[in-house]
Amino acid sequence: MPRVTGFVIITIGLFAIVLGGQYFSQPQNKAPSVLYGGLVQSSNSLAQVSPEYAIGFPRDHQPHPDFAVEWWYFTSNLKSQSNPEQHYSVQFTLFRFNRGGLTQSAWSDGQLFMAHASIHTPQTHYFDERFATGGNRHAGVLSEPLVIQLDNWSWRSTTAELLPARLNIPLDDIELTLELTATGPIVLHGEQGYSRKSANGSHASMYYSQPFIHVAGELQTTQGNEVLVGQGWFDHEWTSQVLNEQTQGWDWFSLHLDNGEKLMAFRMRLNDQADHITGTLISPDGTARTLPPTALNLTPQEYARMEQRKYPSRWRLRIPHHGVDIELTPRKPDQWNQGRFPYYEGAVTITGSHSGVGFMELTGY
Amino acid sequence: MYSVILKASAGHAKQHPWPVLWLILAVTAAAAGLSAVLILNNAALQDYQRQSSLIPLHADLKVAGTINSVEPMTVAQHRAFYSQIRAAGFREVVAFQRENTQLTVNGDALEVTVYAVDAAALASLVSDAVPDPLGLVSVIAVSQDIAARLSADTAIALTINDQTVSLPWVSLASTQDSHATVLLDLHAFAQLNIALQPNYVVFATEYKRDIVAFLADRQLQYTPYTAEDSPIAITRSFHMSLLAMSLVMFLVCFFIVINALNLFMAGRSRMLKIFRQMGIPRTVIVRLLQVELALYALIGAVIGIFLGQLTAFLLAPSIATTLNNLFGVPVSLGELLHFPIYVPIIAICILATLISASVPIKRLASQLSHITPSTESSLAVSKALFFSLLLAGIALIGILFAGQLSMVFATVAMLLLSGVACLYWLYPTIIRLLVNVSHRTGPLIHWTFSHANVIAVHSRLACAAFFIALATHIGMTTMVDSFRSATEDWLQHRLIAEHYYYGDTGALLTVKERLDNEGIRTQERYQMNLYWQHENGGFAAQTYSYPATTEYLNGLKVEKLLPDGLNQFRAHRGLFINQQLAYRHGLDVGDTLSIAVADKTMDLTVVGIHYDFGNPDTQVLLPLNLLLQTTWTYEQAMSQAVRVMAIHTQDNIALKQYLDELGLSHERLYSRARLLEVSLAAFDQTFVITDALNLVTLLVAVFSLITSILLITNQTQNISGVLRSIGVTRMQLIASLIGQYLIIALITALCALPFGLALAYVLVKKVNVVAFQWMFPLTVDWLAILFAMVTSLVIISLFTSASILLSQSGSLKEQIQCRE
Repeated sequence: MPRVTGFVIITIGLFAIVLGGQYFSQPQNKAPSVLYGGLVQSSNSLAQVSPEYAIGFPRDHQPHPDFAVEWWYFTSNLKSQSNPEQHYSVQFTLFRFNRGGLTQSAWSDGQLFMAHASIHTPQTHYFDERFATGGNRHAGVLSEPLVIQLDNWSWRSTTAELLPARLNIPLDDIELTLELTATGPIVLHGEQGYSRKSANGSHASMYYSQPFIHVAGELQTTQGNEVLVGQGWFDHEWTSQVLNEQTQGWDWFSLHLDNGEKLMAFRMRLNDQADHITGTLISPDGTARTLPPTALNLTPQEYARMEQRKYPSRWRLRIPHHGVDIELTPRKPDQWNQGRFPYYEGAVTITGSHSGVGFMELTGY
Repeated sequence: MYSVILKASAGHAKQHPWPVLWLILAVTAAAAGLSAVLILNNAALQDYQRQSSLIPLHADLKVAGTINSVEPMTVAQHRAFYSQIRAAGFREVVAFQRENTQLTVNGDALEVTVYAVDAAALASLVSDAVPDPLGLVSVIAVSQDIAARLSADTAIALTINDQTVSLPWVSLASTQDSHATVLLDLHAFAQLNIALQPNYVVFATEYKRDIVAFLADRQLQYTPYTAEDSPIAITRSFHMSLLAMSLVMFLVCFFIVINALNLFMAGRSRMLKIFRQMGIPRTVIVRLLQVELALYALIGAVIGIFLGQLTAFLLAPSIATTLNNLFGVPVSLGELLHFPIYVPIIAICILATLISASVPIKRLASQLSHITPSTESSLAVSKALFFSLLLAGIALIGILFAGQLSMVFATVAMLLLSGVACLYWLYPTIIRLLVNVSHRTGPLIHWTFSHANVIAVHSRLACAAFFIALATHIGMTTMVDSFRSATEDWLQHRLIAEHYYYGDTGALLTVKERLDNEGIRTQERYQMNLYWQHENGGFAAQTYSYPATTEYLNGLKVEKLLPDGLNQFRAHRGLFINQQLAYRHGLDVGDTLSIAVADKTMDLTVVGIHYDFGNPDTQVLLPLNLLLQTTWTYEQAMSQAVRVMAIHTQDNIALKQYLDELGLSHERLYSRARLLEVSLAAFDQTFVITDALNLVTLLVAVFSLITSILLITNQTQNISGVLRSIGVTRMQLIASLIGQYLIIALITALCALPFGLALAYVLVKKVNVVAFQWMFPLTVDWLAILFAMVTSLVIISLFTSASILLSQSGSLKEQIQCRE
């Protein structure tokens, strides 16, 4: 057969394949990728936090649905009981979003819950993200006993109080079960829980923590079971302002110093004003000292890259008045949670004037 | 140089238009058949995809099954159940509700399917779920032309259950599918104040959890969604057979193309020889010839596609009826314009024409230098026999072991090819026998038989096409006739009562109450979708009540029955299953099926396998009291009543009077005879397309054989001249030539008979079992077969005679002139 026939056959064949392929291709939908984009509605129509509000327990462990956003945040630095050199870290967070325009229906109360579970073993990072509509028992926060839950991830207290509790996180092929007990009191940040997030007071939240949590439990994996022990930190915060369009992001630290002190520090990065740095230094007996911006110095020491994101990976934290001058170094090189809104959440090691362990959260990079 | 050749070719085509028209006509027929079938299959596929995708949400989400409530549940009960199953870790279970309704866009109503899904749960499975729980939008996916009519300020409203609500948070996505869909978050859907009746889709995950065990104590049941259950899967056999038949037609048409090309080349040989003598390179001649042929193929394909599109429009209602009758799959076949299909069809036609032309072109090149007479060596004859036996052996293995539809179709192809090879062995063998027998009968008869072999060699492609078409026709006709007889017999057995009344549960109960008062016996039946367990695994099956009376049990036509099966059924120890269930799940009589009832398990023996033609679903038959034990109350069972009731009275007038008194329509009352008539009419309508395609293929094959004869008639002019010059009269010559063609056609038809019957056997015993999971006895309608064979032979005889009479109409002087 002459070559021209071959050419004609191949050309027509390719033509048919290309056209056929175009015919069967489907339109694609692209999801939004901005930080919490669309989740938080205009704050004006929603409740606002106030320094006048007196936080009370167990009432305020429960949701505050009139506010735009709320989270229950648990982080834990753990070690293997059989091999203390093996470090593990755990994060469990339940977010609640008030979707503004969506009011109650026969199916849901209009709230949206999002949960994140992150488990770092020395080798692997397990992360999963789940969503659920509010008003149904499988998602949200229940009282008596206190249950913080989304699907089968749960923080289940024995009473209406926060602790003692059991945290159970089954992921696809691992399951984490931790017993949590309090070793100290709950701490209110800022002005009795009213935590200012900007210098001019435009941003604020209600914020309390339980930084004194003894943690013991077990991680079941396909390779076997690992008994873990360590310490945990629980935060609960609600606001209608923090996640607005002025907010670039924040750098947040919860630190367990080896001398028994606890330290919370954060830097809010806002579009229309200077970064706001503040924190709380908590003594071993639970006495909290709010650190004004002038008392705290939080400086990036080194930057790293994650895909297109440049972020400060190593930090120096100084509280001159209290003799604190520490360096915070990530325990693992990559501790990004690759969810719908990627952010950094991972264990850090403390060196310098004090030693210890803690957690670092970086958003908006 | 090129323009000279092109002008000369155009001039030649004008002077001798028939070979060109013949070629275009053949391509047209091939393209018409193929495009009609592809267009219809594509339209059906689009309908199926819409139906089979429970939720058309995400390419990565594969449906594993559904959870449905056995009885109506309140919204609060649904929410409680959903929370329980999600909290138990079944995050692959997502609540959804589907509504087929109307979407009003600026006052114009569109048919639309609304998918309301728990978008939050969906977002837990895939990161780019639509609708996005965070985006707060509903998505309306519409075709591009509808999308063009919409703008940001377009008023969009949904009408559900006679209630119209405007649709907030709308975002548009345009698709190639003309059927509009609306994707909504279930919460947003619920805010429209539309009654919530969610179901639960279970998506496939890597991690298996025992959903059935979780649901054990709940009023919900899990139905695995297997690929076999999807409309695409259950209708695959139909579309494959439709495609196979169109391919047979395409193949047969290309036999004509080859013949037409031979005619075309024969006409062009003198002109092409002159071109070569002028010094034009052979490659240039061949290239331009190919371009010319591609142009003819293009013209033929375009006309064919137009006709195919027209045919598709005409056949769509019948195909839709067929699919509904055969598989219970409702399709609209509304999207029949598939422009992108045209390109591949045109490409295939041009390619097939060029490939078909390669051999005649080669032959033409060799004919320009010398002509070699074709003879059949004894070695080639033996090879044909060897291949025939080999292919028959492969087909036999296929018949014995093929378990998949594609393998069964391959078996059919092997069988037909074996027949073609057998045919090539039969021609010389039978003709040699005839030659030997006719040795002493006279030279003309002797020459007639000897020359028949030459004709067989020259027309073997056309003969093969005729053979395939006739064998297929015999096979298909026998299969359809057998199916019809079996269905009629089965219906006559099953229709026990004198009358049947169709209606909703309320109407049936009203009629029943009235007839009970009148002392007229009625028999209603109930149906539930139950989940059965067998040692091979669990499955959901439509489970019906069936009366345990002797009259009804005798009416059940069974393929297999345990010796004491009827007694076991009466004693509530056994059940009947249909053939479909037996074949699909590998069940046999004597097997045990279990069902969970409240806190215990009921074990029942399969006592019989009954015929259930035309039912695409699996079926279990239980005595009514036994069926009631699987549910909660009689009232709940009543809500599942089958919408037909048997009425045991012949008094048609009285029945109509009772219906009148109850204010119910007569139209839903059927006598046994009428029901039988309607059912068989539906059966005949189901196969009307198959019959039509079958007949067209046969006609095309006959047409192909006649083309071949025309060609050979031209080629034998010289011999005719010689024969006439040695004293053979015109009538003797005509009779001899007609006789030769009839011998060939007769051998072909006789060979097609056994292979056609073998094909019918494969269709009944293999294709039906694999494709539909039912089998019926093979009944041969010899009269119909004889009619097809004789009709084909008569048509061939008539055309052959006409063609020979025309070709032999010249004077002796003209005939003895040397011709090309």
